[in-house]
Amino acid sequence: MKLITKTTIAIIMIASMLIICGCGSSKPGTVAPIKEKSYDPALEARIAQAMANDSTKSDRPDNLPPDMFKRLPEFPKDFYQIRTLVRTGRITDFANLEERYWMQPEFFPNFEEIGVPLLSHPPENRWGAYGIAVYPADMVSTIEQGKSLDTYFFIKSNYLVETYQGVNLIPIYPSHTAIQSGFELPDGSKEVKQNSSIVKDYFDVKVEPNPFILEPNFPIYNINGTRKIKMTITVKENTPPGEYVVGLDTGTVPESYEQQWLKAYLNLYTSGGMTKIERPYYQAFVQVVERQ
Amino acid sequence: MKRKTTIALVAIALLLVPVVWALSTTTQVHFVINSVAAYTLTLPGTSATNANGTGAPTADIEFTSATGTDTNIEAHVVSGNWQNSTTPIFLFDNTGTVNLNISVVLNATTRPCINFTGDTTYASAGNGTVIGTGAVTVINNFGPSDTAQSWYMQADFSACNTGDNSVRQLTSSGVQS
Repeated sequence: MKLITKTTIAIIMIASMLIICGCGSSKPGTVAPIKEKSYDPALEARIAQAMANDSTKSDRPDNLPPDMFKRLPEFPKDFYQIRTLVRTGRITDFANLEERYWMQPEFFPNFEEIGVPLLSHPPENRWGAYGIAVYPADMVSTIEQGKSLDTYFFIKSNYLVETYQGVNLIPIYPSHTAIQSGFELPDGSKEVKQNSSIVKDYFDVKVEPNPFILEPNFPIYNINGTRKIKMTITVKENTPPGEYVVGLDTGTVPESYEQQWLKAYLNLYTSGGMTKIERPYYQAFVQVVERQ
Repeated sequence: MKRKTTIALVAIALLLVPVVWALSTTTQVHFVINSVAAYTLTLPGTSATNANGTGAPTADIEFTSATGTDTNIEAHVVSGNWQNSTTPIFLFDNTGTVNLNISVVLNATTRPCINFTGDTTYASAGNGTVIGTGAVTVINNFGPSDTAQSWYMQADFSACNTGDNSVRQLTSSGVQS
């Protein structure tokens, strides 16, 4: 009896440790946690199939000159598996996702469909002057009154762009935003209407790094041609519960940085603010709930 | 034995505390959408890196009037190539996953002696929409698989003098449609 009790306690303790440490399953080469939540079986089967297909691909396809990527981290053997886990929502912890994955241009959707054709046959009489890309561009979250949330996304110098772009991200609060088709907000709605001048006082937003330089990604991909951005959203105590959109857009680069970068990059410097998307480059749909 | 069991149970309870907390937190990311907001804007010329005896192209564009009274002056890249009937000053590529409404706008009004216009065709650029501090549409519902979108710009100068030299930031912007 004594032995059984001790054994039971030991098993429970070990199980508890495994749950807390997240050591219950093996995972690929990222420390970013992979959701164990079970989804629709048909979807899970499709994901498993995609993962199996990915495991047969471990190298970058030979559709562009290897020298284009020589300044990037080595292409991970499990890149395509990790990419599938990101795209299917099994990895959302971008804080822990290593740069050897997100710095690869294939990490961004549409690289094979749009990027490769543009890069493999660049126009002979034109050159890329401006352009940035943000992925993911939309995120849905819930934050308690008075609490903060760190969220991450990736921003890169877009295809063909040869300039050094100074970028300064500023928070904006669009008056009307619809969530992408096929998705809905936690309360079931599909759009957010808000009074921008009031809502701006409900949040504190911090962006790191900011401002920053995006180095060119053409004709050679550079380490700082793609960056991981951390956005910390803090909901003030007096914010009424409801659905909001906190966006990030490009704004004017502070003059001190502008001058510093102009001297460093000369005619190849331009301000990212010259080309911007009026829809926020990054949109955080935030459901604010009462403090527990 | 009772003491050992009590210690073990307390240890288990302490270990489970973080798990309970994790389940009850309401500050979290529900999901991210595989969307990309992006476009590339190209200018005429071969490369920005071709700095040589004829100049070093920049990402700026300008309109130059020799006499102060000229019509249909073409846009050109500072120290770079000029727009012509087959080469638009701007060419937009939507490389993201969402449709965009693209427009251009100036950050300040032009000098009164300058009339600055644009259009998606060269033939209409001189009589196109006046570009000022209000957004001018280049294209609406511009999809990722659509062909690149041209934008031509010209300027008319009427009795301008050297004091009318001015610098304006032309912003091209896209709105998700």
